[in-house]
Amino acid sequence: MSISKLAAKAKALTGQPQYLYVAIPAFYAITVSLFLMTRYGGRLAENDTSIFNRFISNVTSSGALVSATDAYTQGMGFQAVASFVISVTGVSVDAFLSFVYLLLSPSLAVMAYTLFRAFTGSARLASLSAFFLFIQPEFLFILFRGNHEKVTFSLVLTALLLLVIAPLIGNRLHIYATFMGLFYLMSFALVTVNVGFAMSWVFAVAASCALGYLISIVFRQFSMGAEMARLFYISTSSMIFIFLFIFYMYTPSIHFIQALTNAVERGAVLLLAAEPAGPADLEGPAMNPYEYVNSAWTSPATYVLLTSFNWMVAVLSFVMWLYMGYKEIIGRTGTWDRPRFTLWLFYAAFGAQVVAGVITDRSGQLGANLQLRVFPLFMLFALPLAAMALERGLINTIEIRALRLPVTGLALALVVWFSVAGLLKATNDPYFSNRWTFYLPQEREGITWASSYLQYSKMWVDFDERTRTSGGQYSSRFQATNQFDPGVMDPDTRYVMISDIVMERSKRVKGITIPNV
Amino acid sequence: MKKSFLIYIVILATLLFSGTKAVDAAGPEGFTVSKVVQSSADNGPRVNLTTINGSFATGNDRVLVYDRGADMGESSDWRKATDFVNDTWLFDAGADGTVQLAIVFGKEGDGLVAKLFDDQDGDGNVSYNVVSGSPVIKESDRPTVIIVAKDGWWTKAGKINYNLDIKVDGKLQATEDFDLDRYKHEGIIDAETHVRDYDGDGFPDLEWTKTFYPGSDRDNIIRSHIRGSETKRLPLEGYAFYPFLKASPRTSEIELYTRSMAPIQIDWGRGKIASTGEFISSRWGGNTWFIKAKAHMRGEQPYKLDFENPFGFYDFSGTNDGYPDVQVRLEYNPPNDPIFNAELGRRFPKPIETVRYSWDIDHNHTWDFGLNLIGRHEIDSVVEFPEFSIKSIPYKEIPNWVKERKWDVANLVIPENGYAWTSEGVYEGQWLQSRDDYVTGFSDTPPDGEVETTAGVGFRVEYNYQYQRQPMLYLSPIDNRIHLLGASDGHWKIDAQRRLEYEDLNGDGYIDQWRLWNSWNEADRGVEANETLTYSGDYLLYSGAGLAAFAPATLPTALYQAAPPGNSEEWASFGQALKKYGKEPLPNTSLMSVFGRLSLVPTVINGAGLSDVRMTQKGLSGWLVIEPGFSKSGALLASEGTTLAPGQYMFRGEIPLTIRKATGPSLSLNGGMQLSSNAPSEGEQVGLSASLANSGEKTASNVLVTFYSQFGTDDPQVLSRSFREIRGGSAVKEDTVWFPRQPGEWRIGVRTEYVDAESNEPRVMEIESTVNVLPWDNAGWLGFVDVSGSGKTVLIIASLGLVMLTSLAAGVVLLSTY
Repeated sequence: MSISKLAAKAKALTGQPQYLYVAIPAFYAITVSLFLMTRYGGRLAENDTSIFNRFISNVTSSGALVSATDAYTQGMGFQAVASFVISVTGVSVDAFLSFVYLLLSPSLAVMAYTLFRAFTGSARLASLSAFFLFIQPEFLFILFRGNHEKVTFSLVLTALLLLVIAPLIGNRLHIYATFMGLFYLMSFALVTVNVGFAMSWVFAVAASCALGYLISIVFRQFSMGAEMARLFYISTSSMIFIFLFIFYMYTPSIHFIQALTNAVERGAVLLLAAEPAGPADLEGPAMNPYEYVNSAWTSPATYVLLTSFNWMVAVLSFVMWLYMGYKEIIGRTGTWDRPRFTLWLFYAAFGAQVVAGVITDRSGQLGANLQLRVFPLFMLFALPLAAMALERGLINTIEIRALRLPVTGLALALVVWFSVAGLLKATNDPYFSNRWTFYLPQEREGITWASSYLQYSKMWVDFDERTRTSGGQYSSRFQATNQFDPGVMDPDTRYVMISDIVMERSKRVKGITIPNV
Repeated sequence: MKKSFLIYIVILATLLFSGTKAVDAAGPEGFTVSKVVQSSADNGPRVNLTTINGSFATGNDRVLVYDRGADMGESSDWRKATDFVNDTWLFDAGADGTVQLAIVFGKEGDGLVAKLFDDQDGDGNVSYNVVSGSPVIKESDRPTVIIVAKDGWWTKAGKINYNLDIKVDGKLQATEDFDLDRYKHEGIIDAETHVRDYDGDGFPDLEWTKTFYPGSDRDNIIRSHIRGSETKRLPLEGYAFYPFLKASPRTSEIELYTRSMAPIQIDWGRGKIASTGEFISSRWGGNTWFIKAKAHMRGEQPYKLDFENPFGFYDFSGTNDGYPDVQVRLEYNPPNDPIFNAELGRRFPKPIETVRYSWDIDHNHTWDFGLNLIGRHEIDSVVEFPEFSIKSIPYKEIPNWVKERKWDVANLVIPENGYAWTSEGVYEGQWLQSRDDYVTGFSDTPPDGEVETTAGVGFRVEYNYQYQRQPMLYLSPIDNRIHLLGASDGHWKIDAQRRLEYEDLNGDGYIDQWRLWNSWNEADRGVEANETLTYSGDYLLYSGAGLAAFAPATLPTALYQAAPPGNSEEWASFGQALKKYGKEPLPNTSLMSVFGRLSLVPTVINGAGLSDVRMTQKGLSGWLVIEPGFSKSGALLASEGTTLAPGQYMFRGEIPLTIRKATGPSLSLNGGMQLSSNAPSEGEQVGLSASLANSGEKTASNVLVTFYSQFGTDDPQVLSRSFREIRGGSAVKEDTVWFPRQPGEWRIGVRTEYVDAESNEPRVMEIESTVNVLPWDNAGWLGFVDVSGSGKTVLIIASLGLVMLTSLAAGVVLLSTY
């Protein structure tokens, strides 16, 4: 069956083309979620999932957003929503984070589609961009793990959409006011979910605004002045939200600011949405993330292959960004509408954050992998630009009859590869990754046993935080009176738990040996 | 008639004696009065203001006493004119018109109360107004200190009332270790102290203070104090009018602990109350005790108190001059004490305590011995007081409580060059790291370096980290010095260079080897000590100064043996034994002189030395090295075939001492090399081990053991390299870890290299094995699908397939639109 016949059948099945366009990313999101649910059967051993499991459990058990024992210093919005869902449905925190929460994925696809349609003005490009979003490994990692980021992204997508379409409604002030009111509601919700992320978002809006002003002055494109003023008001108002939230509404956030011990950390949080560094998971100095690639993956080549989609998008989007900038700013073709200009500006602002993140990562001053945090946000702007570039290239090549078939075949092969590679990367597939993010039921049994029989003891469990961060409350129960001792074993550690997984990992982990027991 | 007269005299004398003791409760005053003037503060007909000029803080001070009860007597004697019942006393240090302290006396029910106001705004003055002839304190609407005497009197018939309840609200030293920064004068009571004189003799018997610390219960601070006195104190002295108010100067530590000064001290320069205690000096003389705890005195009784619980002071000499002869300090942590090791993030489920037992054997105000013990004994006895009860050890039972128990770790510290008097005994030898890490079991081995840092020059330290016995000391017949029975090792830093080490070689509890080193520095001092003295039970052997000497000797294990003194008799006995036997101790820089002191005539070999002297189950053994040109005095028995000539000989402790030629080291790797896995995979951790045996008699020193691996024709890679010493007749196991980084055929081996000391020839042994390393990933991706043990392999593959199909379909549909 030829491709054109297949397409015709698909059209016939879905009716109007626009429904088809939105159905593509939505259906793909469902299949991706299905894989993410089944891959480790919900047995996630991942730091954020573990932390939020604890926070949500505290909220549900204490009935208060700030429990007596501890609170997430960056916000309480996600815990509030999660606790509500858990209380209403009766599902466990484990099940919520591993399964139920993934049900948000199709709606994220629809939101992304809508935003991208506003950016590009094309349903086809929007569909392609939204489909690409669910191929992108770092975004898939967000879907995979159980932290606040799925809610955060929903809010960012909605806020961006309102920001982009509000000026397009013309003189209907009441609708404009409604849109902007909703925008501020989304911004405020974003602040409550993660104030650090919100700071970074506001900085990007402010940076976009500054860049827009600069361009309007240097290149005398004063028509964009009103848009820049709007961005200025938005960033200023959002900063007020952040200030009120930290100092008056949710005072645990003050500790988040206080925990930042130096200017580099504070700058990184503001610019790059970095998490303040907590206690070191492993012994030794802060890890350079790019050396980390060597140790976390079976080889650097594996990492490059699994992330090849990112590299392609980065190159294509940058070329498109340069082309658009040249065409509209230097060439003054006049086809630049507000959404595209906003897309162009935000790409620059978030691109700068990625570059700054790479530099900070290389300096090794912050333990967190900033690329992981900033890159998915950047992709919201890079993907539509890359889709535009691809469309242009595709149209040009398909028109050449001799290239039509090989190009189509290559494109389809790449799509399938990228979709598989993204999932393998996001789930830290144990065949390719040395840093595994799951645990065995037997390991859980071992920790449960140790919780009952050990007190005030240390137990070696693994080469890194894997076991310590394995989901659920059983590891917390162990840690109530005991300590995990991952990595190089401390001399005063008397208990060692070695599982088949640990034995298997010992073949991969370099520099740390299994205790000689 | 004569008999009845005698009885009358005895009764009269008894009465006189009792009266004298009561009057003695108040000793020398701390003030003088030069002039007393009376007037009316409200210009009325009645006298209601007495101005006392004199000295209590500076050379020229003044006190204004306002009458508030319309009962001021007209007199030039301040005692008749004023009272501590309803007068207000304003103390003006320097007579400059400012007031540094105001005391408002009054009545509460049947009791008397004194409210003390001090400066609060930093101007050194307690401001007040006189309204209708009576002063009203403006400085603060609440007093800083309130003292209540429920009995309704402060002093009576020469007695001082020590039944007091005191409340403190402010930044002052309400008790020892009071964290001033955390308290302020805001109307909330910060500490309350209670003083009791249960037998009514005019001297305090018990004092306790509860502090109300505003921080967390987990903060590592002192919260409770209890102090007790078993005998009468010295008379109170140094007071300014009111018997509890201390005149200038402030009480020094030595006065606090050796005299009985008025307890409420004022910083007269600043107008601030400085402290409100101690009514019973915590460390005064003998027959005193105190408890200082981080735990609260609240909740269910008996209170479970930690930290210094208890600390006893004993006047076994009976001199009663303020200096104790014995101190026993327990630092106690009950099971799961939340504060113990809190900074290390640990809890210890058992009780644990350290004991510091110090004694001055001749009452010359210097500590002679310090015994430190660490154990895990629960204090479960209850000490009852009339108003509360605690878990503690009764004062009189503390020494025996310590002596009756077995202790995990012990050390004895002897300040051989003398020791300055301290209020808390010999501080050296407190091994807190041993307590925190080793005795708790958090570490397998005693902490490094703790012994070395225990004490400096002039201190002798003997210890055992596996003591497990009751504390006992003995006086050795060999060096005529007191030692810790059961000490495994010890050392004495003689001066900045030299050091004398002690060791119990055969584990019988008695020191049997003395080693004198001319340098502390291990890098400088070589393998053998400069002088070594060993007593085997049958022989006394000496090596040093270029000679070896030995003589048969049968000596008692101890000239005197006793536990640390726990009562007056034991204390006296200990002192007498020291005087009798310890007169001429062995000089610490000449161990050879032991033969002369014991009237022994040794066999001496000049140009020889002993080394590696050991006490084994078979008896004494070691090495005799004879240098060329040696000479010998006395008999020496050699085994058959051995003629005495320069060389190395083995000696044994049979009677008589016999030497024979020793065989050289003979190493073998007979056990081969063992691998933890016979078919390792790429990257798998493989343990390698090899056993090295020395079937000869001499020690093989500096044996270089090298493990290596080699892949194909690559250069061999060293896995580990170490130097070992293998004693004659023993074997050692050497192991390492190997990670094969690629699959294929590997050669792994172990090589030993050493130089034969006799032939000076290098000896090399090597064994090698070939190992086939499998590729780690031979199972392929499918082998990893269900690595998480979910049992859903089919579902995982199906869902991934669905993703691929969907992405393919999406691509097809999107492409078809062009």
